[in-house]
Amino acid sequence: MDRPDSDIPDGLKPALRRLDGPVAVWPGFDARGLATARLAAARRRRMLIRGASLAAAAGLALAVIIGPWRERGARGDLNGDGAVDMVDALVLARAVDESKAQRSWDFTGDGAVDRADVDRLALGAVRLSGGGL
Amino acid sequence: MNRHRPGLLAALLLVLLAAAMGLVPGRAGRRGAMGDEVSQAGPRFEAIDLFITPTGPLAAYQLEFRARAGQVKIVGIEGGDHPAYTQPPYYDPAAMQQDRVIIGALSTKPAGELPAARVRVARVHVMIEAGPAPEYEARLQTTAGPEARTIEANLTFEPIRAAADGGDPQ
Amino acid sequence: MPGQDPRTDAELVAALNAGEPSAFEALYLRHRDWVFRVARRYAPPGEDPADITHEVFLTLLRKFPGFRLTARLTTYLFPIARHTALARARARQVEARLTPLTGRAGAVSGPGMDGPSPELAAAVDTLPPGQREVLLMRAVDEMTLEEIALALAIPLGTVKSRLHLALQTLRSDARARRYFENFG
Repeated sequence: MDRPDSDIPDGLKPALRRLDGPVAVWPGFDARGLATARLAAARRRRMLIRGASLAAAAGLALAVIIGPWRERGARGDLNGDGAVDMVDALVLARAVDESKAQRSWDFTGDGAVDRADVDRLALGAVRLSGGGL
Repeated sequence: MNRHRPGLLAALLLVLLAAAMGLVPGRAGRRGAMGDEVSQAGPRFEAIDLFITPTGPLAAYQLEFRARAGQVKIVGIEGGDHPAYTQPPYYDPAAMQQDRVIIGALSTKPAGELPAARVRVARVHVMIEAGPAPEYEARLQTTAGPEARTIEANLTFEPIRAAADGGDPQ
Repeated sequence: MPGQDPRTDAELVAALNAGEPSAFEALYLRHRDWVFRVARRYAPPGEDPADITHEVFLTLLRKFPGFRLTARLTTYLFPIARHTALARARARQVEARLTPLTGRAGAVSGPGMDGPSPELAAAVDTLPPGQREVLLMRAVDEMTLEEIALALAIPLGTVKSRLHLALQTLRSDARARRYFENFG
């Protein structure tokens, strides 16, 4: 059953590539993409610097103020039913779709709450070693 | 019909012994979906369809599937029939080559586009090595409607004819 | 367009992790067309693959610093591009599916060129989506079977069987048979 890659005939590959068509983008496409990326990177850098200085103080404050209540819900238990499962991922997916997600739901830690966080939460829920992040 | 004939019994035993040792082909091999012959002496493949019958539109589910008997290894998992669940579900890749997996999927489609009756949500492909016939069990961990509220549902499964060598017909 | 950066993807990733923004530009220019093709393949009607391409690179950028490259970069870019396009289909509440090759705007064809024939496109479009996806990843995106398995998060055996079944179907299809002449 171990079929080699060479099962694809030589003539078929270029034919499929030609069918796929060339990449044609408008003038300024790259400039726009790279400018957006630069902006995002700058914003992220600012957030990281601001976040680093705030994190220590906030972490201490959180530990003191809400630490005793931490056991109420595991990270990822968005509906507060005591379990991290696919229903929590559904809650997050709907919030992302409706742009109502909370910042604290950034489970990937990439600064954004998006489908990647839904995937992270869902994959955590189906982990064989126990649900959770 | 019920007469015991020692000669016939001995011959039968010999044939069975020979078959067990691979001296006779038994069934002459099974033709896999890939068109190649899969030896009866080697492992065989089976797929198990998982069905959920919800009491309302099904927006999310999570279930556990395992083989409780037999030398079974999970080799592949794919989605189901309904457009909301055709994509492969979430599962732990570590479940591959094991006999247990937790599967889950969700859909943010509106209620009208979600399955509200019995639906095949996933198919699990397994490799069965020599040994006793496999036995499976599956249980629902949670099911929810579009508003992310838990709903009642039933889970059933049906083993189907082998797909192919670790593969599927998709 | 500036000249190609001679550094490998791994070196560029390391440079970007160290805070060199031009490394991102080099990665973008190197993989833009590849990402665009994948985005175009999965983009739902009404969605511009160019927008998806930009979003894919933004997602990649967000992984820095701290991104570790343990496989070819395209193995990471593919699922991001596919997922981004399918998410847009979900947001538009349209069925997420592979864009057909038939009638693809810009497909290169002309006198004296050996195809591509509309017949081949039609034959490929009749393949089940899973088989078509793997065939295009192998033939167009030039991914190895292992990379395809990794990118789609499916077993290697499944990749092999899908590719084999796709080729078997095409070989027996009169519209594609000529590509298999004098082959195996």
